[in-house]
Amino acid sequence: MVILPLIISIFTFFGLYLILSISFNLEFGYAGQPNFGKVLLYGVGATCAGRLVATIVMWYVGADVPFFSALAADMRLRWGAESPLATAGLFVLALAVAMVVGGAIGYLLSYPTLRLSGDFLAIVMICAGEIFRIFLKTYEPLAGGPFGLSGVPGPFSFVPDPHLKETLYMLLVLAIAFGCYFFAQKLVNSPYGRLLKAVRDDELAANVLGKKVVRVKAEILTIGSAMAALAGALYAFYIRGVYAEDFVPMVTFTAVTMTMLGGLANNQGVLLGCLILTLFDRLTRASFFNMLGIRVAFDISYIRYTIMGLLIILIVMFRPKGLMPEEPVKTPAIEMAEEKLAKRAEESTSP
Amino acid sequence: MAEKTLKIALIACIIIIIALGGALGWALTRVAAPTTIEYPIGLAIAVSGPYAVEGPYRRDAALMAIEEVNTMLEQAGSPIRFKPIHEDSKGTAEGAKAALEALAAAGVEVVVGPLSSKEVSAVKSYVDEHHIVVISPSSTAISLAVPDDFIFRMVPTDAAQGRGIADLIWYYGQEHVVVIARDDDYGRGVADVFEEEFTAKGGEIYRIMYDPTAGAYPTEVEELNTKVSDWVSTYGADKVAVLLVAFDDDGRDILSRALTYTTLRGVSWYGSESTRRPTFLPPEAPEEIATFMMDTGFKNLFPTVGMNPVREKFYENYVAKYNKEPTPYSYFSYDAAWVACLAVLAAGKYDGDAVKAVLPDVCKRYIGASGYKKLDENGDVMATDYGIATVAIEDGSYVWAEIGIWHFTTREITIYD
Repeated sequence: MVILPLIISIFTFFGLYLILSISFNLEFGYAGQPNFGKVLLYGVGATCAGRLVATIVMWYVGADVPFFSALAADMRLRWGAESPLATAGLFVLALAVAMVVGGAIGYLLSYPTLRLSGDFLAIVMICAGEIFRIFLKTYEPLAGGPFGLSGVPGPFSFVPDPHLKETLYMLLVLAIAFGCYFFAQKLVNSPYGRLLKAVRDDELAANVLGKKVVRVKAEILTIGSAMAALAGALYAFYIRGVYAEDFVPMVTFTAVTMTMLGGLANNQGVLLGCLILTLFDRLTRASFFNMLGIRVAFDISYIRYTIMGLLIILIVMFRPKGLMPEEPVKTPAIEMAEEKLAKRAEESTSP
Repeated sequence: MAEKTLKIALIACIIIIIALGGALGWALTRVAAPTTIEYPIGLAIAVSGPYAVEGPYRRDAALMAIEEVNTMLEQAGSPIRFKPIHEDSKGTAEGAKAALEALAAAGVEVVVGPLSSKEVSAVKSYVDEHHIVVISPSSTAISLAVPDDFIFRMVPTDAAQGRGIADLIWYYGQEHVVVIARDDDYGRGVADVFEEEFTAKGGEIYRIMYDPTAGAYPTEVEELNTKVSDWVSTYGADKVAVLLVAFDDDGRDILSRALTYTTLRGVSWYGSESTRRPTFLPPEAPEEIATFMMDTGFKNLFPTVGMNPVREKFYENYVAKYNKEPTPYSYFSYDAAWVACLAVLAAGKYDGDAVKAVLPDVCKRYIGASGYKKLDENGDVMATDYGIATVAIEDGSYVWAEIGIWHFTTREITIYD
């Protein structure tokens, strides 16, 4: 049973970052919009979900204790344990609100993309993420400022066994993550996917051909941002709180690294990249080596960061397109064309 | 082609999962005949992020404590040994949760750390549900004082410190204080209590909260200088003071910039307990910072323990082992690890519930390197008196010299001759 927390940790983290990485891949890999402000939407999703649920629960409980205190957090979690239907309803509501707000912000973020592109857009997006983090940390009434907001009851709060509760939540996160994965696959293997690539490869040409480039950019940023906000909301329920200092640029870079490692514009590659980096993060810890009966004579923490950095450098140097490079879009039309071409070739070579 | 790459991906995933499963299976079946009984003690101590400088000092102190306990047990012929497992909690909520999950997976039920209140807050519901005892050496947030949970804290909350600093500054006659503080759970906690206490006395404060991740603080120091100059021209330099609530890197950056301003050199400076670190003094800091601190009469408070044999022995052993001086919070980490081990021994079994039950009694009878560790009803160490220190030169070296004491119960200040 002791191994279970590690499995839960690995696959919950994997699920969250799979959603985040796929959203980045849709925006950057397929549509060429370097949204390096992933953490902004991730944070917005977490804040919306955490704050909404905590507020509704406190309003319902009606206790006169400071909103951000540990006592209030305990009360919220106890209430969650006693109200299974209500917490499930709140969970669904919170995810929906987070996605709507995230999507709306993503739509607004499409405006800078009209004037900026490439590195400049990436920098603006990174700044937007930092502005959000600083605002969240400075403005206490939103999520407790630097102290954070704790005690956000999850959908399985009513389950008494903590291991079972966390396992169920992990499965839920994985189900949602794979739902996002299949949605993204469907999207990019449709005519819309080809349109995204057309915008990415040559905006001018796409415009000349009558494609509404501005609208496409706005749409994909809305979809990607809603997905990132969804990941953030799921994160808030996983950690049962909202802490401003969790929304650092490193979150974005982790998602970017996972995407780069797997392969830009290849969702299967992203899945692989997420899995490899998550396993690397969780299985290069002192606790894991201890479980294997291996004693490490030095503090492995520093070595982990070094190896991670080295890995990124090696990938960029030797596999710049990732482990699974981009492939042509598979559509029935292309398949038919390939078949016809193959047939013709066969006919021409036959006597 | 797509099918081929999908196959490659799937095969890679399967290989990784099989390798993981195989490794775990191997680990689980690999049971050697035990000659000793090993109990793991988790150390969820950040050594990166905001604790990159000071975290390793605390980790080393906790490791030393566990080593000492093991030596004691070995000498007594006991088969029990404690095995430290360190996880970097990164100073963030996510890092702390991941560290606790990793430790829980390794079967750990007693943890020393995490360090900050934000990290403790993030793992609270997790450790309460999993019955993992957490002994934080440095979390001070008042909001985390909750009875009957699995969180224990070895240092008094911010309430005592904030009150003490307010009394100290008032004692020296300054009525207008510019607070320059980290905008995090620690800085905000101290600044909030200080503001409440100091304004209640009739004092006036102006707050400058800075982002501790910024790295450099020229704008904040400029603002500090502007406000101090304004007040000095209105009330006089003897009525104005600066309170610095900072850690190592940010604190040194602020001090190194402040020393270039004449006005800031002309007023009294005070610091939070986190400024009482050797890292603020040469050789770890430039000499001009120490000189500036002496010129401005920089004073800070720290929970006092007086010199006792445990403290002296800890200091000697720490310097001998690591060739560096322990930071003030290292004493608390050392005690947290000792208390963790003693509680497991007192419980007679390695079980979070049993350890939680005996821990208050163990603490009631424990006087360590950081003093008496009696806990209150919330599992936090009861507030003690605070020593007042300033920078002085002893034998040619800059040191923190205790010049007085602030009495917690009476709120009186005694300055030594």
